[in-house]
Amino acid sequence: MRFTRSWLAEHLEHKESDKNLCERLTAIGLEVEDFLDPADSLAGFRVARVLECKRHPHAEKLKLCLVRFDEKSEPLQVVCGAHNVRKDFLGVFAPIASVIPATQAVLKAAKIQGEASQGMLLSEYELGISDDHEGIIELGEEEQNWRIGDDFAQAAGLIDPIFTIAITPNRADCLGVRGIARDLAAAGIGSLKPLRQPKLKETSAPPIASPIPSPITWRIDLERELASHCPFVCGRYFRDLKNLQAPKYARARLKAIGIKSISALVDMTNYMTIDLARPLHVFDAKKINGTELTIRKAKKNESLLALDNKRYELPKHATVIADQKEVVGIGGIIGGLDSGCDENTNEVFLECALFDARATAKTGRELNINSDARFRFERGLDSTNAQNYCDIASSLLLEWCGGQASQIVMAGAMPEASKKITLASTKVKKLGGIELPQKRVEQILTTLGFVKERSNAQETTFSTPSWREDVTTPECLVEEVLRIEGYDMVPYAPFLRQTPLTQRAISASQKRDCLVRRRLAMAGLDEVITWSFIDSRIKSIFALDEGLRLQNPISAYLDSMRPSLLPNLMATVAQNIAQDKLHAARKSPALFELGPRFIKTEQRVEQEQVAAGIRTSPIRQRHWQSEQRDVNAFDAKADLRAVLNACGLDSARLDSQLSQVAPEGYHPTRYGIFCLGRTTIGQFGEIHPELCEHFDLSTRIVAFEVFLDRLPRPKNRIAAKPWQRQKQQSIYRDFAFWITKERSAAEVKQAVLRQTRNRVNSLNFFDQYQPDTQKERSLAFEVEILPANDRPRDEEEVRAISQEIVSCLESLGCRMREG
Amino acid sequence: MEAELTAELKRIEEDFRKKLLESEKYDIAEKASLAQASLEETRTSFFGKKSPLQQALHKIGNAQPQERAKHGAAINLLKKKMLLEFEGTRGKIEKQIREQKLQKEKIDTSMPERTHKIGALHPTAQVIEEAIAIFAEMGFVCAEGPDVEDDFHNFVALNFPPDHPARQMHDTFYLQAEKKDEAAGQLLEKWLLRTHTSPVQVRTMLEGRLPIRVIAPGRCYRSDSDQTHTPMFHQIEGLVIDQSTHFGHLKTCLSDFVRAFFENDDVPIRFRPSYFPFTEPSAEMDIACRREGGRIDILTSKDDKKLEWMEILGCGMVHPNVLRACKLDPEKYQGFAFGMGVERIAMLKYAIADLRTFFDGDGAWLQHYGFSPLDAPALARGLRAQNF
Repeated sequence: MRFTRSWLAEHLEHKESDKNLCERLTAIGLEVEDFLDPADSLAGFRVARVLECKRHPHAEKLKLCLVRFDEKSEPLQVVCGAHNVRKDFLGVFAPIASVIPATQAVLKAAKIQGEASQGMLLSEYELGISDDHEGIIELGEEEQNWRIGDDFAQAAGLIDPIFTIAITPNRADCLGVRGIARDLAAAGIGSLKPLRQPKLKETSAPPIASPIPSPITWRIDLERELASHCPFVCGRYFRDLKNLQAPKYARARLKAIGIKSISALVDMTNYMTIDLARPLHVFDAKKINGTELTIRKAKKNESLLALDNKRYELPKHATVIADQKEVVGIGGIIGGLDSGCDENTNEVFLECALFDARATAKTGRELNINSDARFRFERGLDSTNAQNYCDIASSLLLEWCGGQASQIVMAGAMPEASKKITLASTKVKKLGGIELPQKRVEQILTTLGFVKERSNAQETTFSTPSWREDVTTPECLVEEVLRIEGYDMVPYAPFLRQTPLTQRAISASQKRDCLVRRRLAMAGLDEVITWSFIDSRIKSIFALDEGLRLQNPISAYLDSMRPSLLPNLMATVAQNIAQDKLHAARKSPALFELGPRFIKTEQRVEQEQVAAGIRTSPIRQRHWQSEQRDVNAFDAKADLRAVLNACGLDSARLDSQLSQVAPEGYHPTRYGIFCLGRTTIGQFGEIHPELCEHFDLSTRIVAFEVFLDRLPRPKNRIAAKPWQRQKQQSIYRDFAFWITKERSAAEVKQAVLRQTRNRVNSLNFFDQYQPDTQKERSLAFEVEILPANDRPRDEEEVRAISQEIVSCLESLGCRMREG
Repeated sequence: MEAELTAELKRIEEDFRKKLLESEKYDIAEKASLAQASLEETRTSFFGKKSPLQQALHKIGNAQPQERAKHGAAINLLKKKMLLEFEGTRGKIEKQIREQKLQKEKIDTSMPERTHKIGALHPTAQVIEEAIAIFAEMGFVCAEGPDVEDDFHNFVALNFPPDHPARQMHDTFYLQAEKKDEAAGQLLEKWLLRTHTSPVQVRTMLEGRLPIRVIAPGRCYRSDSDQTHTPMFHQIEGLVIDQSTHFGHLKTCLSDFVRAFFENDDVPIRFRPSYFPFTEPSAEMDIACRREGGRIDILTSKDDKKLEWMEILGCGMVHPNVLRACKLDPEKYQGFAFGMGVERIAMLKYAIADLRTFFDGDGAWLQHYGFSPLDAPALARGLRAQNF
């Protein structure tokens, strides 16, 4: 919402500085987003006349102008390229050393194609007052008596400071200058002037009396349950008017806030919209078919060619204004082009209606039309002022265009808008935290337009003003009181902790996340946060459920919820590598993310927390003591196990296995999964080459995922156990076996540990030998044999345990390796 | 006999000294093994079984017991003395040899060591932990809620009726999956991605454990993408509900937070009326900054000529309609709520210019703005563990 200082002065008698106004506006909730005083940037430009104008001797498109900008000094030569410059032209001159507002460049004396140029004639664009750079500003002499040498901005009335404020959606009343003035007055900034009363030349008292009847009448044709979509409409017919220009003050104000002046009629509706937050519409009466305008719902297949030159197919729920042939406007949103006014219009019909906020919002959103009218209607207009504002608009129309007005015609009834709210006398203190005398509370509310209905020691009842439909509860009244009194005035109250120090701020699973993140960073992976969305085109590997698709994605790259973190990590890695392709091998990014993946289930879309990481080749930087090498699945396995350990899971006895099918995204034979019972808790391996290809990555990449929510929940209690030194030493023995290639190391380990439970503590593979020609490979491992309770095991026992290990593995088809 | 023995002992001692000196004279750098061999030779010839001292002992074997004792003592005394000297010399020579050996073991330690890269934690995650550390001191606990929400939790319960214009400020993403009404077995509405963390307020209140002091960090989504908006971002929600918390408490809680977070006790703060459907009265909190040449500094005084107010968070007293929707009696319970953008406060605190870079995963950016995993935020030692 924009307005100028002079516009505000129409409604508010005050003597505040602009700075104070800005501060107070923000303090009462009308946040000043921008304040522009054109006097600062537009000062120093002069009204000037071109005395002579001839062609530049060396440049066809340039002209040499002799410009007088000061009656006392000699005219100066200016080189000008504008097509509209000519002898006797009256324009705006920028002398040497001026700062051109649009470019912020300092103007210097120059030679252009060999000819001196001592200044510049400006376009509106260069002045920063519009986007128009078609030619330079030409000052119309019939319009105003310009004097050579005058400060242009002052003479043109451009020095009106412009306020831009952000209006929150609840404050429909402040979408008009008058509402802002009212709030300022309540805040102690001056006093609100009485609303300008409508006058008609022939009559004195409102409402406007008129001798002529309106040839057009209103009818509301809405079903009973839709009646609220337009409870009331009124209008007047005008004849013998001229659609020329609005008065200068109105045009200047509209222009200052960025609304282009079009014609008196259009400007009048715009002026009413900004001044009183009252959108209305003017039809060219000659273009209306028949004698009746109807407010009704759109019919099947109806459409409208609107004022924005676009044709809209109207949804059935749209409230429209129709003549006896066709739709001429969409209620509260936009008028039709065919019934619009032009320079020949001399007969009009003014519409002032009350359209429902939600219905207007719905239609507007569906048709995607963003008009000033819709913006106001969907935030809710003062429902009681339609007739009065229709009269104010009528008198402006007569003032600006002449002619005669008809009597007012209307249909429906204005609804009762006022509500009664009872405010307990303790409420401001209890909710707002500030002690205020009852009198002050009443004073604030009454200057805002609330009316005190009755009051006793415990409570006061107020009725709300019609323009404040947003105020519905006693809490709303507290807000009104607080914001006018000032949030700054509320004293800081001690906010003390009320819970015991044993209360944990984060849950066990949140703590787990913190530990996992820190553990992975220690392992050398950088933490990234990637979108929860992915590109559904990588479907060839990830079986994406259609239910995870977004209905309104922001781009095709981000059109589904991710079922896995890997694709985004891959994309991030690819981007990092692409950034420095030449040196990619030196960087070899390693990344991890902790975040949700999404799964469509029967009932809803679930999410689970995943820790996923990715490493690229080579794993080591070049170093004189060690060889560089590519990453392999075991690097990812180490990361995965680090995560499990950070989560407090004793993973020493746990090892990976293969599943029926490789998990999505992984190489079909170079992966492993970790299970607890039947639940997969983690998976790792090389990335599927197809996925690498998708991201244009050619080196070996490995990844892991841990499904954190599937891990046993960490316990909050302290589990303290006293420590005792193991009294006897363990005994270590080495073994080597030939095992078939189908058997996994995990199977060997599990078999041994199960067989020798409580006696063998750990088994560690330390060598593998795999001749190409054989179907077997040799695995060497060391086992730790625990001592018996209180004594070392003797040779006999150790031999017995070793024999058990041998026969157990032989039953799996393994052979002890000789020698 | 006595004189003879004395002369004999003296001669032995002299020979021994000469021999020791010979060993010491070897240049250790060149002939360490010769020195060692010479020492060994001295040892065997003067302390071995056939050494002159041993022979002298033999000789006195036949003497009178009295004399034998006396002479024996003299010989043993000399032997002890010689042994001491021998050990001294051997120690000296061995020390030289060892030093010589160590000299030869010289390496160039200015060559680079093997490094272990430590990864960086993402600033968004770190800032969430910083905020948790502060609010934890005030007795808040962390709550969580799903990213995929329904209309009730994201809007309706928060007093956003359908077609409310405030919904337009939330460009909502919808999923193609539809929510089923379990009772009727009908498809009712599309699932949506939460546009703010406020649905966690609703979930917490519906659980009904009072009084409430929770914060809820998490991912949020809005269909918006430009320099200052990303389709995904993080918020921290806060909610306090009891029977007496009012606007004055809100002011204290949030200004304490901001000062602790920015580690700046003097930053000017202002509360400004605003509007959110789920709070009444509503406010936005601004802090004073100064913007210059693309960087933003947080001020410590209001007197700065270039003072600009920067919005930090939205807050307000929980709207009675929200309490009612969450099955709490607004006559009995009241409190405040707030929400802030994590990336926004991170940008201000850590001088990060562009919001979009948070989600680029650029390794160089992470190494610059990221945090050491050893740096776990806690107020006890200053929010930032290290600040050099």
